[in-house]
Amino acid sequence: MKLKRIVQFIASAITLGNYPAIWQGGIYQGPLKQGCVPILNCWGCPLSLFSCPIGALQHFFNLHLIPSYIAGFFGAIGTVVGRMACGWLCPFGLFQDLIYKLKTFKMRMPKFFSYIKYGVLIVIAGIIAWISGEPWFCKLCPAGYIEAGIPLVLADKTGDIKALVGWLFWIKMAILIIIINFSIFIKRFFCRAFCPIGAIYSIFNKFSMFQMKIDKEKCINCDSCQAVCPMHVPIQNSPHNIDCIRCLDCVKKCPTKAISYGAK
Amino acid sequence: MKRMILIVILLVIFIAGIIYGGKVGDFTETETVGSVMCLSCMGLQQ
Repeated sequence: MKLKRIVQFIASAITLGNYPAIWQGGIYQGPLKQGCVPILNCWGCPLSLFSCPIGALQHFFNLHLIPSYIAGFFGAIGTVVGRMACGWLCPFGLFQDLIYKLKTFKMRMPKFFSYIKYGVLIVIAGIIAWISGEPWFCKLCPAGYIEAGIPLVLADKTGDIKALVGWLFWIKMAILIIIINFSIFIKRFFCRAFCPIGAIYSIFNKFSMFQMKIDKEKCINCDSCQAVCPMHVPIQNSPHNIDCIRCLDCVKKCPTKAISYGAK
Repeated sequence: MKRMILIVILLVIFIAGIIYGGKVGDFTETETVGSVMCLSCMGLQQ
């Protein structure tokens, strides 16, 4: 198994590490929730030990407060490693990586889809959250649905939670089914098109401390880097691409060792 | 060199943001809201 995959599994096991919830129920309530993980992670998930940064961002917007902590958190991580957390730590990214392995025909995502995530961030997680006082991205988030919504309904023995299922629950299910279906055919469809956390980190990809570098003299334009890339990034032409999650799969795949990385 | 200076300045600003946020109670607020099961966020309450 690749190192990246091992790290992804370990990160998911730690992020969703409140194992007593499996037999005790409820969600984790404690000081670890003061900390956010740098990836999409529903804090309503019974297994979740940490807070979701985009959920926290919306909460501060709901209260009409400046989110100094969350802005600093996103900024510090983005400045150091850009979008690397998406590639190595995100459980929902891992989920999409795995379902893309299903043997079927594959499709390419139109390039303009990559810009939808900025709309999701600014309009849904920003403006609407500020105006409505409700965390509307959470209400539509497919990661939250798979981590928290479905487990809570399935584990409900009394029927109290099942009685609360309404139209929004079914809309979330429809969103999840659409995302899963497209993720079978398109590499990391949600991360590339809709993830607001990816949108924030992608801004830092151009100038973060950690950078990808291409040796143009060694590159033979074989495109094997783009073929192996989980985000289908043409790294040979744009090493600072907004969708590069610095997973380093391309570095290993390059036959001429033209791709390098590091603090540059 | 210019990029490294920019990175250091940005890091100082962002870390200061985290520290300031902690001082004005952002950590506690995050813990409080993260410890409540938001049923409506899961589509379980309209």
